[in-house]
Amino acid sequence: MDHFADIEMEHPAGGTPLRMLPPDVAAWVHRVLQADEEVACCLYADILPDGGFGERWAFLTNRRLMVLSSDGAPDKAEMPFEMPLRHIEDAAVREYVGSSALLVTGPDRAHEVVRFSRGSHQEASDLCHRLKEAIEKHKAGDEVDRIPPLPPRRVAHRCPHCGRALRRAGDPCIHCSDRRRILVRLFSHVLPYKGYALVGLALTLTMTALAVVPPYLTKVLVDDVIGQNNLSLFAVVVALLTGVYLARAVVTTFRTFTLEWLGNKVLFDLRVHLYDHLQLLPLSYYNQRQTGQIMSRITGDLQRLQYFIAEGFQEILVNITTMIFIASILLLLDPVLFLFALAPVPIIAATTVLFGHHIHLLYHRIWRRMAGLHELLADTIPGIRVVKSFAQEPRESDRFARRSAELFGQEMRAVKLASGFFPFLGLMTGLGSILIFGVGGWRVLQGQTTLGTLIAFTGYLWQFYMPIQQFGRINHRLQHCVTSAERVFEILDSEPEPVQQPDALVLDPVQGEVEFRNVSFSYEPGKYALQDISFKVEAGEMVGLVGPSGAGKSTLVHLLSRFYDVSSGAILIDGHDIRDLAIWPYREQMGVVLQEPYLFHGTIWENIAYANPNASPDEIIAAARAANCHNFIVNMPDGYDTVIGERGQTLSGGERQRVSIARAVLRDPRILILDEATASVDTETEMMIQTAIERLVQNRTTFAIAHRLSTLRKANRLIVLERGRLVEMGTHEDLVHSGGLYSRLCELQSELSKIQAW
Amino acid sequence: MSEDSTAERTRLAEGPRQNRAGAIPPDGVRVWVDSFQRLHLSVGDAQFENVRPVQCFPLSGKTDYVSFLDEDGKEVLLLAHPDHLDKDSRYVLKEALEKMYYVAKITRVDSITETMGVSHWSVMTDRGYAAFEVVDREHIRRLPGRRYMITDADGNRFEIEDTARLDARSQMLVHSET
Repeated sequence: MDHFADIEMEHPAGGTPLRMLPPDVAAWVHRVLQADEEVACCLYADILPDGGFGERWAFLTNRRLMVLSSDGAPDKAEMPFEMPLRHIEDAAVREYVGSSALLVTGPDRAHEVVRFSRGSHQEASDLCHRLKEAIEKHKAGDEVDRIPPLPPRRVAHRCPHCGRALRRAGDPCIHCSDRRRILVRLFSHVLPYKGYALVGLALTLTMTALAVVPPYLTKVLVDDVIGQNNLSLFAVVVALLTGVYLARAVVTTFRTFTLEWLGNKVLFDLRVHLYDHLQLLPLSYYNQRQTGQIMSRITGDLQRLQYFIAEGFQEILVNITTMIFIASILLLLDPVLFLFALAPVPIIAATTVLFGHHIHLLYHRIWRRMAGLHELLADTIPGIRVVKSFAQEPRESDRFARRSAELFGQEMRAVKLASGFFPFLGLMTGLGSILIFGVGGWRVLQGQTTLGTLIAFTGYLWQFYMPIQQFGRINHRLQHCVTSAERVFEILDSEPEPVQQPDALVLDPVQGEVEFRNVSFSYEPGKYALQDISFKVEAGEMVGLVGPSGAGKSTLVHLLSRFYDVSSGAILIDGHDIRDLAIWPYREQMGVVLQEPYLFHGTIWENIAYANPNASPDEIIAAARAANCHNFIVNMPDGYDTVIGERGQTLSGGERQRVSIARAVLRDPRILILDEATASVDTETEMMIQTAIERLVQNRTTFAIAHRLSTLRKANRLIVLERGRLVEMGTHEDLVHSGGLYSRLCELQSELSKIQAW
Repeated sequence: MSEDSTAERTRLAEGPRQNRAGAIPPDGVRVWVDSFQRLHLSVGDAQFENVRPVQCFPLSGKTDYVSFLDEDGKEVLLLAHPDHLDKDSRYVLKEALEKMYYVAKITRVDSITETMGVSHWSVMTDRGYAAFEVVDREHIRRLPGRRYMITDADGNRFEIEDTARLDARSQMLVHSET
């Protein structure tokens, strides 16, 4: 909910939280503060104790915790809750599904201090954290004279400038980016080709001008040639008409070509630029978005932009010039008739605007239904094996038919609207011409105007009504275009990984000494995935990462690959902070074998050589041998040139895994990450992978994640994680006898393997 | 480990009473809250403190099962037919669940405007007026019976119990957005 719109957001670093409050609330707090009392944190709570929406503020000072309730009337401010710090024994934020509450425990009972919605969650956990620190101090017998102030934080998925919701955390704010600026920005991509754009424009204007000539020549033909029996003029008029039509054909050809070239060229530039940028975006960008969404931006949204760059802008210009041009000609030809010609204009304009609005809503709905259909397809087609195994084909057919029918229904509504609208427009313009014929015919009979003028007039009339109709719809097209441009620029504006820092350190070679120093990391504020992890691994050591799922093992290796930066603490590689290292040279010396190895569509050869395309055949075969995959490869008819299908589906799980190990061997990394490399294969294949891995880990710093603890028997040391914390570290023997989490996991697994051995 | 075995003991003691889902019928189950706002649960001799109740099917409206979790999120008891608890327990549980699934119900939609994929909703709810933003179409979840669950940018929830019960204008707005 948008409660913060009126709060001043600018604040100096370390400023007191009071500066950020609405003035009446700040004034109230000042009134109740005692001497040498200072506000450390404040919390906006938007849910009243009875569950209704309302406004309350909780303040933590160096003396007490208090709540202000004003219910919108500052003069009636009350303090429904107050508790001195020394009486508070514990504090917690209780999370519910749609709200949270701050709970403090006193000597004899607990109090729900305030309830609030999700928007205040971060501030609440900050406050709770500070409060607990103060409680600890009290318990230790120290006096709390000052709690360091903390300005309220806005969660990252709100714009820091206006506080409005962002589509995703870190997105540029759509309200703070001006729409006109987006169009200007779009045109900046046309600038390199401004020559083409100008030529295109000139040709367009010529085309418009040429379209004006024929009706005028008709007038001359009727009035001066036929009326006067002037044969020489007849030849001139016919010649001129021929020339005009010829010129129009030529100009149109060149215009179309120029504009199409321009549109496609700018599109090409943008597409390549966009893809380059996508490659550089950090992993976190992809985690927050659906693949389909990103893909549709590169294809669909760019296509819309092409229309605008090539046609849309010129169309607007042409419409304006045509309208002015034709209007002045009509006025010159016969001012009285012109007034009559204007009669249907309000009706045409109004219906077009109305139609545009309704059809826009309908198209929007159709677009949503279409997206729903796409989602369904993207879900069921890859899952077709499951559908078939459970014999659910009829149900899936039903589901599709239902959604399809919804789409059909909406399409038909649009069709109904459109099929009525265009004939209506035709009727209006037709009535317009009849009016002109009626009035004009009468004027011709009265001798107030010539027959030629009347004929020319009706010829121009169509050209006059046309731009009016188009203006009604151009606005929506423009909106679509701006939306598409926004989506495209949103990608371009997202911060890429800092791969090209000029002063970054290049370690070549990396020795492989890795140290985690008090590392904490959270994907979303307040929820730590890793907390206060410290350990040091010598170069060449193999370390096993053990722990239940969700313990933070994968997060730890993500940090090591620098897919994310630590929230606090530091990771040191050979004694240097990982953030000071140049990313590419560092990652080039890392090898990763994943649980679900990803192979690209291509030959086995290309997949092994992915990280090192210039590898010689010797090197490739040596790597394949080391990974125990040479044998199965040469048994295939096409050997190393065998094409493996999309994502390597033609190979078995174990085969894919070994190809990916060969890829890592060929890379000869200094730091190796094995992410559950043997998780999903049978025992025999596991043995093959195991021996391959043993060859691979020699002389490299290795981090191996494994659920099967047997995989880790070669590890020098084991790091045991639980809920983001490092709970045990040591050799297998040490840990088995320590009676901790690891020994329990070992017991469980040996039970399991007994069952499997049966 | 000791908590596990307590839970296990309850299971064993209550063994014959469990249904196929491992749920225990409400007779003999008591729920109360102490002055430290901790929820207590007792089944026969077994007692659990500081548990929190969760609905197994919070959105599909099947309220027959309530699971009680301890502080580590481990289930200590699965209760069947909670509406047959004794009066006091039923009241305590109802309060706790209402707090857990706090959701404002939309009674009227004043406007929905969309700017570049983010829709801005102004609505009246049973808790008062609210304005919120929805950043993703997936955050508008359609449930059986023309019911909608909407999650806003901050993670707050709003529910439309039945679109057919809204006024015509609200219905039109909702339908063009869903």
